Amino acid sequence: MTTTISTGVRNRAAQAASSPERAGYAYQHRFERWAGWAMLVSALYGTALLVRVPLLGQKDFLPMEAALHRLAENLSMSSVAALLTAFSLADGWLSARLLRGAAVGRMAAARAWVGIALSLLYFAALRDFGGALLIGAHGGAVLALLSRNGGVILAYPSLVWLGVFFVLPLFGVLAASLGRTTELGLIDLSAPSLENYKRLLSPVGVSGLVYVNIFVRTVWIAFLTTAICLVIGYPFAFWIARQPERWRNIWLMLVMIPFWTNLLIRTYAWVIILRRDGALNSLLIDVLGVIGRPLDLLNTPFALLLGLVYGYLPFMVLPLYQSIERLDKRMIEAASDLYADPVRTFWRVIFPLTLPGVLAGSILVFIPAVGTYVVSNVLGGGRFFLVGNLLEQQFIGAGGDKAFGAAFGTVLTFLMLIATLIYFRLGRKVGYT
Amino acid sequence: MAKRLVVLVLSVALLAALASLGAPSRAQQLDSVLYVYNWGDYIDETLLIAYEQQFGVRIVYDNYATNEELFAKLQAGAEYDVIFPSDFMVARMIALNLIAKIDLENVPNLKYLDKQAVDTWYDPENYCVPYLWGTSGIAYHVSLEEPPDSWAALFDPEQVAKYTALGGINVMDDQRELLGAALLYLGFSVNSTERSELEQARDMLLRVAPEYRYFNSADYQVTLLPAREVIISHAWNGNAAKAALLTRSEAYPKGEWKFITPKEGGLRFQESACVTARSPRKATAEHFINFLLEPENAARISNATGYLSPNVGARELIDPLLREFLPSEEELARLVWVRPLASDAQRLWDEIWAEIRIGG
Repeated sequence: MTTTISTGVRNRAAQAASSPERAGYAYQHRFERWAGWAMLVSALYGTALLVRVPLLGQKDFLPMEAALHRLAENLSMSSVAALLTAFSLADGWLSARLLRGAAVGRMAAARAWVGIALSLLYFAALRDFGGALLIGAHGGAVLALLSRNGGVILAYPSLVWLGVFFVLPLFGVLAASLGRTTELGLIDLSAPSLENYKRLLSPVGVSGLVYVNIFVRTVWIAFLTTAICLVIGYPFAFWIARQPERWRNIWLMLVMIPFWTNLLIRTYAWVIILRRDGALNSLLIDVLGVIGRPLDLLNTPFALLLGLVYGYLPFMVLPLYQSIERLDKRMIEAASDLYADPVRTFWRVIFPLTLPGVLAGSILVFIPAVGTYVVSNVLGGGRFFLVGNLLEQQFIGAGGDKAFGAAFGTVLTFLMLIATLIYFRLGRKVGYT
Repeated sequence: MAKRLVVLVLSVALLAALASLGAPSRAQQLDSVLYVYNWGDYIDETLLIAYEQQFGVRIVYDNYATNEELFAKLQAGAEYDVIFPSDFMVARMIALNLIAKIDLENVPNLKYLDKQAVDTWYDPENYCVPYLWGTSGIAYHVSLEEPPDSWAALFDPEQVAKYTALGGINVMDDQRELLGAALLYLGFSVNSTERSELEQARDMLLRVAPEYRYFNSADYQVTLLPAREVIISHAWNGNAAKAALLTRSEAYPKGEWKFITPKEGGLRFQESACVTARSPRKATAEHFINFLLEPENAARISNATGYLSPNVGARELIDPLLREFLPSEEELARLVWVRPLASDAQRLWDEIWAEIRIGG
């Protein structure tokens, strides 16, 4: 296993170095030594568990302790102790050999594969996700190190991250969407079907295509949010970019400061401003005396859009600012030298050149706006039933049909994926990405 | 260099392993820590501190917002010891072996509990101990000259128009509650699975839903009611009581909000304190639950949450204002339990609900 991976790498390392043989050797050596350290860590952890679980009977502190106690209930404490001893000794021996520079890469790789296989077994038997992740990620890390490929090693942490928190759950959702939710709230996958997807596209009662309707409504609101953010954000970013240099950072800082507070809290702050006896109404009635009775501002489309635009405006301003700031001022001068009026200059020169920022900002605003449910609940007063609200209801609300929610989530994910691909496509066209 | 590092790492590992030895031994056989998972805002949190100080058990306290959230967490393997599911969820969790049967010997304070709260449809074998209970009805602002007495206030177009003009209506964003109330008003069962009955309820709701100012069942008692964003609200009695407690002033010594159980009846629910099947600290969990059942502690929980306790011993100790939200015997007879629905019926309810929510 190791040799097949390493030959290709050795060539690459050799090409990169001036003195191929020696440099390539130094690379291998260092990474194998690191693998030795990784083995030492697992040997020590095994020993610590050996002391704490069978000897002291502890179960509340380190990862895997509770799960090992459960294993001991099914097997016996002595077999758990034997297992831990075997692994600690094997890893200790391997680490000592590797740290001394012995050629035991093959054996270490075999041990790493055992670790990965074991992590799956461990999760299947004991349902301890944290422990399984530790065992599996450790095995993977040793393999990555033994590959002697700097690229693989650098990418490894993000690969684990993506795999565990994106690919695995995505497949989980996909699988769940083919199942059926039982009376007990579990997902029954014994007879997979596309029933949930059919349900998405079927008319309901007297209301027609309810689910499609919810979807279209959500996309429309997200689109409006994006458009308003763009209209407000563009001049603002433009203005910041034209400030003296030392002011720019201060203005950008001011754009970002609201981010230090959680979105939920900021959204609730708008409730205090907008409600009947809130700040805005008292200003209009008591201070300015413009109106006689309080305006109903909450749970109107106005409040919903206000909350969304307020929440996501910085996502628009920051990329816009970046592309406007990079704009070559000489282009604008050239345009006016060629007798283009300001409007024409803007549409023919400035706007196309800042299109990358416009696209990046739009996608950054649009995607979270589609998934919103906090803002529509808090500022929309629950009057606006959007995709996010439907999903919330299926997973943690009274709807409780997780399989159907999963189907809805899958469709949403794929549509967003397509939108992102279009964005990258357009981005390439305007010379971005 | 490497050798010294190895020695260092080894000694740190050894210290970590032995650290637990140095901890002081406890007099009782209580565990050192207890994981408690409860609804948000559903206990007097000073009780947790009191328990920690009195018994030397550290409490790790987390919150959830819905039964389904609790269920999902437990299924995913979260290791909590004490949980507080609602009636139907208790039944489901017992069926799935997620709950351990409490040893009633270890919970002597059970004697304070109201018999009819302990003998329930969802937990006939007493796996769990009742914690708080409530009912849904209508909360109204005291400034209303004629208080409502029927669900018609929420469903009859003329009355809806009247209350909307007076200040607006909030209904609960909860399919079992809102559709259930509509079914009660129409004279059907709150657990109906008949398409025609549910469709009648839907048609009625679709006529009035655009008039509702809010669909809020999450925080209306602290946001909408005290601020008078609405004049009447579909509400749980505990939340109405909370709104009353929050609006007590010199002008309104009894608070600004009152609660009625409509003449057609209301929906009843009850949360129980349970020990999870996976809990390795069952004895400590039972000890903690017993602590919550002390009459003065149960009263403190009621006073903090606004919800009624099935604890008879606590009745004399609770805030007198809360007693006004206790249904009378005659009202109690009109309450009905929400029962779980079969899969097909659940889907029917779900679709009807989606129609209402998108039309409202």
